[in-house]
Order: sequence, then C-alpha cells, then structure tokens
Amino acid sequence: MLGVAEAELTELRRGVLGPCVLALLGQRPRFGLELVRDLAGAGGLLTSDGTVYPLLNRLRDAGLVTSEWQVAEGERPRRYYSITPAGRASLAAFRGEWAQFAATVTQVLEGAAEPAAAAAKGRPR
Amino acid sequence: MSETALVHPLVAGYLILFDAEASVLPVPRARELREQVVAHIEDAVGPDASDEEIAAVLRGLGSARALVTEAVAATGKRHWAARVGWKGWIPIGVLLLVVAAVSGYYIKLDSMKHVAPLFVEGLSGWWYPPDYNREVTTEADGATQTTVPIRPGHRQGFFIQVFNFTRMTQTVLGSNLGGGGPNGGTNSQLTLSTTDPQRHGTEPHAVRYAPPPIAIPPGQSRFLRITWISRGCLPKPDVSGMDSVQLRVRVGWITRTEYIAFGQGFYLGPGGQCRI
Repeated sequence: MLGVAEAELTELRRGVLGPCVLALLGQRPRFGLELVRDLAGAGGLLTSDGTVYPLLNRLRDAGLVTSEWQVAEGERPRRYYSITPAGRASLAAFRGEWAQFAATVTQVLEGAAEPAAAAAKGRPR
Repeated sequence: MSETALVHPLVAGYLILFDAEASVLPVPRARELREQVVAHIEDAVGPDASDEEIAAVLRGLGSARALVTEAVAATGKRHWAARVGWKGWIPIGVLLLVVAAVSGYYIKLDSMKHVAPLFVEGLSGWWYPPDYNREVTTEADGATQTTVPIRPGHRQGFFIQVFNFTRMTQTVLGSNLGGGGPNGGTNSQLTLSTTDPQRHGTEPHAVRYAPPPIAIPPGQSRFLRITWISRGCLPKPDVSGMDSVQLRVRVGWITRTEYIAFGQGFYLGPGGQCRI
C-alpha cells in the first residue's frame, strides 16, 4: 500500500504528466518509446513507462494530440504523436497557471514547515 | 527490432496477462493499447536482448493490471460488460430468465396448440346386440354408413377407437353432445375405456368404461363409447345419426376443442317398433 506522501505524489505526477507530454510534443513529434525515454530522462515524472500510453489516448480523444504512422527507411513503421493547435493552446494556458500555482504551493509548504521546525527546536531533551 | 521479441516467453506471458486484464476495456481501446505496448516492447528490446533486459523492459512498463487500471482511469472507458458490474448483472440476469421463461411458455403453448388431435382408427361398431345384429352397411360417394333400426325408449349407441399419436398426453374432458342424441334422443352418455385396448385386450365389451376426464397418454388408444335413449320414429326413407363428435380435450396447459370424425356414419333408420 502506498504511503500518503507517495500516493499524493502519484496523483500529482498524473496531473502534470499531460502538460509535460504536450510540452515535449510541442518541440517535435515523437514515437511512443522516444516519448517515454524523454520523460523518464527528466526524472521523477513517470511511475511506470506504460502510463504514457493511456494518457496519449486520452489526449488524442480530447483533440490535443494526433498520431500518424511513419515509415523510415530500414526501420519498422512507427506511430508518431504530435501536438494539435488545441493542444498548444491548452499547454499555453497551463504554463500561464503553473508558475503561480507552483509558487503558491511552495509558499504554503514552506510556511507550514516553519512552525513545526520552531516547535522541534524548543522541545526539551 | 527483434523478430523474436514477441514470442519470447516473458513477453508472451506478459501479453497473455495483458489480454486478460484488458477484457474490461472496450475492444477498440484494448486493441489500441495492446498495439502501443507491443510497439514499445519491439522498440525497447534489441535483437540480442537477454532475459534480464527483456524483464527490465517489462518491469518498466508496469504490470498489465496497473496499465489497464491506468487506461480506465485516464479515459473512464471500460467494456460495457465490466461497466455493468455484478450488481447490474443481477437484474439483467433476472430479466433474461423472465424473458426466457415467457418465451418458453409461449413456444410451449404454441406447440401445444399445434399438437395433432385424437385420431380414429382400429375397431368400431354398434354397442348393443339388437343393433349390431341388424346393422346395414352402405357406401355412397366414398362414405361408409351403418344404419340400424331405431328402438324408441331403448338405449342405443356405438363405440370407436381413438388414438393419441402425439408426444403429449391428451385428456378428454367432455363433448358437445349436451345430453342429446340422434333424432331427439336423450340421456346421452360419452364414456371411454379406462385402459388401452392394445395392451389389455381388444374386446370392447370386456373393458371398463368411465366418463371423462380420461387421459390418453402418448401412443395409447381408448375405446370411446356414445350411447343415448332413442325417442320417436323415423318414416322411410329418413335417417338420423352421427359421423363426428366434438371433444373438449386438455393438452398440456391448454384446453381445446377437437373435431373427431368417425370415418363412418352411425345412423338410425325406420324400425319395426314404430308404426307410422
């Protein structure tokens, strides 16, 4: 069973993974494993590689991502995912909110940590 | 890509598990996710990948159950059967049972309605010696008619043998005689032998008779006897008689009227006791 912090982190990852995928696809189209490796390379975003595929399908259903088969010489056909104009608009909106959101969360977390630290410091041994 | 990646026991086992878990997803969604997983494995597993490397790729993908759970969470789409859940299946099951029972009832009912009626074959004749000793048989236009003199004030009658050639028991409940007989005869009685002549003797006077209801099981027969007290006289060349009777018969759950043609006519004609 996941601990409280781990479960919340999993939920947080799930929440931000979509915009991160859109951001990567905003740079250039990618095929599945390529996208997985880039996200894994960023560190701490993926709970497992497989979670990317259901997410890609959801983003495609929402019209934020599209996919097409591409055949490169000497390689097997691959499905490449790319961002749509609606996806770019959604990503831009998220970027505008994220900075403020992250700052607020950080502020609250650090503010909540201060009284606890002070209480720990004043505790008799 | 490795041509053998998908047939590697570890991969094959993973895909079997995936297929089992993905059965809760709508078929197109499950097919699409499988295609993505297969492509991932084929891209990630090199041609000379060791068992450990393949295992690492599969571990990285996550368990098949977690992958499908993620797919359900991401899209909210599950196979309709899985969406219904066991609580939903109870009323559906009950509904199906009711539909099956009602359909079965009507199919059975329909088959009962179309069961062949009782069939006249075998022995037949006038019942009382004063009649069968004096019967006259005539044939005209392919029809057979036996005529006996009317004996006013006396009981007269005849018997026929009826067969149930169907697979269902047919129970004779009564007739349309209503107490009447030919030429205004009264006190008519319809009785049937209580045993099958084929099994307990073919002598019609040696078996027991009883009024309806009498059941005739599949493949069996019964003597059917109709008698009445004759009234009045018949001037030459008048005759009065019967060549059929309508029986109320229960077949399974239904009761119907069966038209029983005797195959011959039993008629009363002018008699010596009448002075007309």
